[in-house]
Amino acid sequence: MNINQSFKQKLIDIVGSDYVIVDKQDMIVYESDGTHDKGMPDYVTLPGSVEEVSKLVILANDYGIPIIARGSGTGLSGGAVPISGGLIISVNRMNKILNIDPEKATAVLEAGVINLEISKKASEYGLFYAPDPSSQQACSIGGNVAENSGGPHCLAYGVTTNHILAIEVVLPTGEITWFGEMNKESSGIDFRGLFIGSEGTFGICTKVVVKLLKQPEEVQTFLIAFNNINDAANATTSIIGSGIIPSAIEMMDRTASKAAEEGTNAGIPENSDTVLLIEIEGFKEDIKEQELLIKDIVNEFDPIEIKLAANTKERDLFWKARKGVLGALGRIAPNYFLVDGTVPRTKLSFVLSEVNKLAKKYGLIVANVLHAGDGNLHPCIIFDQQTPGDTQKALSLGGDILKVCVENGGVLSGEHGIGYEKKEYMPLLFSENDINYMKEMKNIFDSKNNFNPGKIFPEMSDTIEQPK
Amino acid sequence: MNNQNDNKILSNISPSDKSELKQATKELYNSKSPMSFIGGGTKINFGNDFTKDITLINTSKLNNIIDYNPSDLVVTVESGTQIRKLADTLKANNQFLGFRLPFYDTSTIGGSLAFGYSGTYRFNDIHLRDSVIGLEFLNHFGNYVQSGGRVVKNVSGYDVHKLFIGTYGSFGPIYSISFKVYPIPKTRKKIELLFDNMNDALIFGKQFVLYNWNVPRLYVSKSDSTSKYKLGLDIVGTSSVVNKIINSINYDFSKNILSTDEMLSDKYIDDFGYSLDANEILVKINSYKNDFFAPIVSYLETQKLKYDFMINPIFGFALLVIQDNKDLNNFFNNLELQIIKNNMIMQIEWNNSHQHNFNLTNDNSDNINKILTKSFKNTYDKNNLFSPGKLL
Repeated sequence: MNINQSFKQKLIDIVGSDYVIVDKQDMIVYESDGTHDKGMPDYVTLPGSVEEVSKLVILANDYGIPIIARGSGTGLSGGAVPISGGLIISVNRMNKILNIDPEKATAVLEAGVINLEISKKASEYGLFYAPDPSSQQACSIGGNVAENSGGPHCLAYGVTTNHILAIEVVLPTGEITWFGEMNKESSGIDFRGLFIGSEGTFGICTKVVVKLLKQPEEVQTFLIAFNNINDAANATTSIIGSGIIPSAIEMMDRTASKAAEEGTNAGIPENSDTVLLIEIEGFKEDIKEQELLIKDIVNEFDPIEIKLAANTKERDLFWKARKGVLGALGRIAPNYFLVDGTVPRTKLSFVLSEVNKLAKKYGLIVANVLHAGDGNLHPCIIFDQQTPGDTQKALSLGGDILKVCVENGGVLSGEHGIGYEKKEYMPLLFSENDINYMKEMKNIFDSKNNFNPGKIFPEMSDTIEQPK
Repeated sequence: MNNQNDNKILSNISPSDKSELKQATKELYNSKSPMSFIGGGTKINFGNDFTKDITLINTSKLNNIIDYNPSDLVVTVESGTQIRKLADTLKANNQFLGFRLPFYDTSTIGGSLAFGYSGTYRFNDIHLRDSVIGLEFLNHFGNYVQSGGRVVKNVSGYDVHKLFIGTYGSFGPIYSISFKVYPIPKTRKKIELLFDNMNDALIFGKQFVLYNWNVPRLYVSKSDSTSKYKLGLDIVGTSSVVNKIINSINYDFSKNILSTDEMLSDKYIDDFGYSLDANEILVKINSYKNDFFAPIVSYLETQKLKYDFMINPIFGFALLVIQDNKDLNNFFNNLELQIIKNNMIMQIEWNNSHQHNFNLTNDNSDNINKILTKSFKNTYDKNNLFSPGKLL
C-alpha cells in the first residue's frame, strides 16, 4: 500500500467511506470558491463531529499534508481554495442548531449551519441573527467566523465578531478547545477575537455560540434615485452625520442599478444615475420619526424619486434587486471580478470618481455596488475572459482600485478577507513590522504552517529580527 | 490568597510625544529593564502583582485627538487621552463612545483598553472590545506596529489589536487607538423598581431586556432605605419610545416604581453612580449563572462589614463595594470559599487605599488557553519585560 492509499484508508477509518472523496471529478466542486482562483485538493472529507475533525487534523499532521477548512465555499477571496493541494475538511455535515436560549438570547450552532437558518429558527422566539452576508442562503456560520463576514445590515449591528460569544475550535495540534465565554468583561487574551477573521489559518471552528437580537417592531425600506453618484454619497454622509444609523444603506451606480432593474422590475426609474436602498428598523414611533428626517435630508440632494416600500412584498423586491445585482451583471459580460475595499465614509464620493477614471483608463466597465453606510465599496469589474488580455487587465484594475482605497485612508478588504487573491497587496497597507507581527501569531497557532498555507501573507522575506 | 509582594516602582518616565515613547521603550527593553504603562493610575492594582521591580512609562502627556471626523463615526486618539477630554470632544458633536467609563476625570482611554473595562453602562451592549477598530503600539524591538485601521469595516489581516484589550500592558505600550463612535440617544431616563426578593428582580430584568433593546444599563442592588431589592433600568431612545417603554412598565408595575429620573446628558457615572471612598474596595465576580450570586449576597448579609452590591442580570457579573477594615482578611477568606464552591471568578477591581492587594482569581481557564497565553507572551515579550507578572 503506498502512502496515498494508506492515508486514504485512514481517512475512511475516521469518517467512513461515504464521507471521503478522492475522485478528481467529484472534487471539482471543491477546487474553487466564489472567485476565479482554482486548486485541486488531494482529498476531501466530511466529518460528522469535532472528534472526527480532531482525528483528521492529527492524521494530516502525521503525513505532513496541508489542511484547508471549508464551509459552503461561497468565499470571495480564494480563502478556501487548496492552492497547493492537501486535505479539505468540510464542515457541511456538522449543520445542527444545537440550542436556542431565548432567555439569554443566544444560540449554540455547529459550524456548518447555514447563516439564514439561524434567523429562521430564532424567529420562533422573536429573535434574529444580525450579520447577513449576501450569500446568507448558502454560507455557513463556520465560514462567517473564518472571514469575520459582514453584510448589508452590519451598518447598525456590526460584523460577525460583534455577535460571537464563544467558539469551539480544533487547533493545528488536533487539540479541541473553547475560546471566549458568555461574559465579555473577562480579562486575559481574547483568543475568540483573534481567531475570528483568521481565514482558517489558526485552526478549524467547529461550534459557535452567537448572540441573537430581538426582531424589530417595524421595518421601513426606501429606494431613492439620484441624478449622480456624488449626491447619493453626500446624502449617505449627511444621514449618518445627523445621528441616524439606519440598519442598511446600500448603493448601486447606473450600470449596476440598470442591470438590477432589468433582472427584477423593482421600480428603479429609467433616468436614475445612482440608487440608494436605505432600511430603518425599530419601534414604530422611531420609524415614523426617522422616516421624516431621512426624507428631509435626502431632499437637499435633489433626488429623482423617493420610494417607500408599501409592504413586505415590495420591500423584498427592493432587496432582490440589490442582492441579485451581481448575477444580473451577467447580461453585460460573462465574467466579473468583485473588488472589496473600505474607505472612510466621507471619502466615498472622491474614491468613486477615481474608480471611474481608472475604469476608463483600462477600457473596462465597472459597476459599483456599495455598502455605502460603512464606506465598503464593491466595484465589480465586468469582462470576458475569452477576450485576450482582459482577465489580466481586470486583475490589474482591481489592484489599482485597492491602491486608491488605501491612499485615501481605507483598507484592502471590508468583508471578504485577504485569502489568496489579495495577499500580494498586503504591503500596500502594512509595513514589514506589521506583517511580521501577524506571521509570528500564525506561528504560535500553527508552527508547521499546515493550516491553509499560502494565504494572507505575501511572498516576502521571512526574516524576523530577534530582540536583544 | 497572595498578599502584595515587595516589588518596587523604580522610576517614572513621561514621554511627551510618539518618538519619545519609542525611545523610552526601546532603551528600557535593550537594557533589560522591566516596565509597565500607566495612564491615570486608576487601575494600578488590577490583576496580579508585578513580579519584578519596574519602571513606569506614564502616557498622560500623550493626550491628543489625532483624527476625528464626526461623519465617519470614527475617532483616533493617543492612548493617554483622558476619558473626559475624549467624551467632551465627542459630545460637542452629539456622539459618545457607546459605553461609559468610570473615573472619567482621571482614567485614560489607553488604560481602560489595557484593562478591557467598559463599565456596566453600555448602550445596547456595546463593549470596548467591539468598538476598537485599530491600534498602533510598540513591539519588543521598540518598533511601531499598526493593526486594523480607521474604517468601521475591515478584515485585512489578523485583528492583532484584540491582543491588547484586557491584557494589562503585557504586550507593550499602546500609542494610538481608533474607535467606532455612536450618536448620543436623544432621550435618556432612569427608572428604579422595588422587589421583595432578589430573584424576582433578576427575573424581571432578564425578561424586560429581552423585549427592549433600548436599555444600556440595568442592575439589581440593595435598596438604601428598605430591606427590599432595587432593579435599576436606564432607558434610551427617542422621547416617544422612552415614554412608551416607561408607560408599559407603569401599566404592569406601577406599585413597584421607586423613581423615574431624567438622566443628565453629560453625567458620566461609574457602576455605582459614585466614586469610591479611599477606604472602599471594589470587587468583581464573574459567573455564567446569575443563580450563583444568591449565596454570595446571603453571605454578605450575614457580615458586619458595610457593603453594597450590584448584579447585572444579563452579563453575569456582580460588583461588590466593601468598606475596608481590619476584618477584611477573614471576610475575603470566607468569600473565597464561596467563589470556588460556585466556580466563579473574582477580581479586585479598585482598591484606593492600597493597603490590600488580594489575588482571589479562581482561574478556571483550560490548560490550552494557558499554554497559548504563555506562547504569546514568550513570542511578543521574549525577556518578560512588559508588565511582568500581570497576565501570567
